[in-house]
Amino acid sequence: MGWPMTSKGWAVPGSKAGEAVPAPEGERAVPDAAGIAAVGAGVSLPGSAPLTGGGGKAPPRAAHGASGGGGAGLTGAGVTREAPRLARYRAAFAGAALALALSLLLALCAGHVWNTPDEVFRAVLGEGRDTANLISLWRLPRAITAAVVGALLGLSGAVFQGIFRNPLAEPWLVGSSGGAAVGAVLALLLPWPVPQDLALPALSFAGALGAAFLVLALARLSGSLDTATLLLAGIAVGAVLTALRSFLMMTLSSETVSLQVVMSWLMGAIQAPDGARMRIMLALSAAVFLLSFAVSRPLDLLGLGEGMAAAWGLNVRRTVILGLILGSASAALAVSAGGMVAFVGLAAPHVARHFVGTRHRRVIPFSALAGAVLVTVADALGRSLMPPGEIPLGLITALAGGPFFLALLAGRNRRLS
Amino acid sequence: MSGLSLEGVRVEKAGRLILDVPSLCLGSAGLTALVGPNGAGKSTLLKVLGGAERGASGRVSLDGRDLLRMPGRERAARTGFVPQHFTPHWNQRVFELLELAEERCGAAPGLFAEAAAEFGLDGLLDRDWEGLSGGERARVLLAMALGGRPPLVLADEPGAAMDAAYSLRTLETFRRRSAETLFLVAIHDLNLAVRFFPRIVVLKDGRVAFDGGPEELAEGGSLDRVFGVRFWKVDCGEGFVLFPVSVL
Repeated sequence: MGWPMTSKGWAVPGSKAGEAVPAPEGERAVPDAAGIAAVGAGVSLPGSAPLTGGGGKAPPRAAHGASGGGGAGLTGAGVTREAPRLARYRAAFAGAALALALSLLLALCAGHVWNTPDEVFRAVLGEGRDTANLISLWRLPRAITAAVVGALLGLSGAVFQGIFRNPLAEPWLVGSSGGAAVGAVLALLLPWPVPQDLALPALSFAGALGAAFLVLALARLSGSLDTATLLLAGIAVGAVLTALRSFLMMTLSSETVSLQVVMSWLMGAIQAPDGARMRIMLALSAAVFLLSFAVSRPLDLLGLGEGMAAAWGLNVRRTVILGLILGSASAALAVSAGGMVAFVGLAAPHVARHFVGTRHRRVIPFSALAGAVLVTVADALGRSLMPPGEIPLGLITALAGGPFFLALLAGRNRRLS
Repeated sequence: MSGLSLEGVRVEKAGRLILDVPSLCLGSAGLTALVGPNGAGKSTLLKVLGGAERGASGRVSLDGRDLLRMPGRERAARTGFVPQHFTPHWNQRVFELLELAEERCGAAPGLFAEAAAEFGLDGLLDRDWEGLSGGERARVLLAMALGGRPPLVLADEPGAAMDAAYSLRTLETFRRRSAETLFLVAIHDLNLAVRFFPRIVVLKDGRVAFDGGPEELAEGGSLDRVFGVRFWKVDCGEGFVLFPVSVL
């Protein structure tokens, strides 16, 4: 009968209460993290390797000591108030923020003509007029735009994966990138009464949202919101949209609008906007980012399964719709500022879950940070590796992201088996 | 009116009546087992009460409040739901799951840490779901459901994946808490049901076929009728066991 619960009640027979501690998480995480840092070095600049190591290379206990900023929403409930766990996440966030700072520095240095960080700093201080102009008028807006595009893609990917509860979901797969592309092609190829600066994001958003809701409606038509149905509907809609886009490009292109512009945009190209547009883009992105905190807890609950989520008081339908709107808005903003950039939306959330667990209030911001680093570095490399030409951003992210993702996948399968 | 009571609760799916409970009062505390053959509506009833199954008509009141039309979060704070199948999508760590459970019901600080200790999860907090054994998973689920000390606990086959020791321990835990909590537990093992539960509700084809104590259930022949099986009642030690002998 009565078994003293606290002392030995639930402990596995034959083990003492204190012994149940599993192999320290950190120790298993270290080789993985180092592996990621190693693969990541392929995408990031040579000098950044020690930084990524801030979360990876350092022994886990030492990493706990690292104080970190940027750990948004880390205060948890009672179970998790344990300092080491929080410190680990803070260290991961600090590492990611540092990686972003370094990749922005790389972006300011990179170009047809490379500048040293020293020159960049002096230019920022106003010395060297030509270099200062080059950096502040050309490279800085572009680097910021690239970072924002990456953050939006990372956010969008995290939100879509959260809604679809599928690690394969991403803006591209669920149709919203395809929808945004159709909208954008229309904006680029047709004469509009409003300036193109306005038409592009508006039509992209309309396209992305339209596609996402079409996916939702198709899934509902078949009577279920489960993952497989949603993904199948997304793939079907995506295929139709790709065909539609190609058709539009064939029929609408003329002498006056070069298909090459559209093509290069389709392969991903950061368009650094001027002052006013930049401010609009930043404001919209900030709004999307803040809104993402509102869906993070609902997405956590959704991750427990629909039945459990409902039992725990979640309005599943409303969460799915809100998430679709948010993910689409994010994807559309990214598409209108950076064209079609592959893989970032898919890979960034995986990186995030690897470092900060599965709670969306950490996954979404970390995924945004990871996406920002990826796109900033990829864009910097794209415009500096083959002067005077530019390698399309989308090609680089796909080239670097593909193997990176495969490595993640292989690592995960090894762990599971 | 205190406690849990159901009035005219019906669930229809594709034109078929899955659950039809005209009236059932379950009181405000104690252990009630829910038994019945496969497809009798046990899981449906628990899901309706737990909010995982919408679309039930009728009225369910918990301490005078309408449980079916209560805002989701309020209902979630009053009920601890242990589903039969739980497959989270993200391979969450144990502490993340407990953290979510804690946030859900706005429990007093420390309550879930207490539950984690009570269910022997202290050493498992950083493990992820996929790496847990069936028994460990069941303990995590129980801690998630019971941690906030909800007045109503709905458990669907909580011991199904557990070995004998764990399933006994689970029922012991329920029994210890049954003075202040109402447990409604779907259970397949009739012998555990008659041994631990002073009240047994038998469902068949969505209807209550029997409602009473274990002795009564074993004596009246209603058990044989419901399951279509002849049972032997074998007296032993502290009570009796039921042994299925032949299909009727």
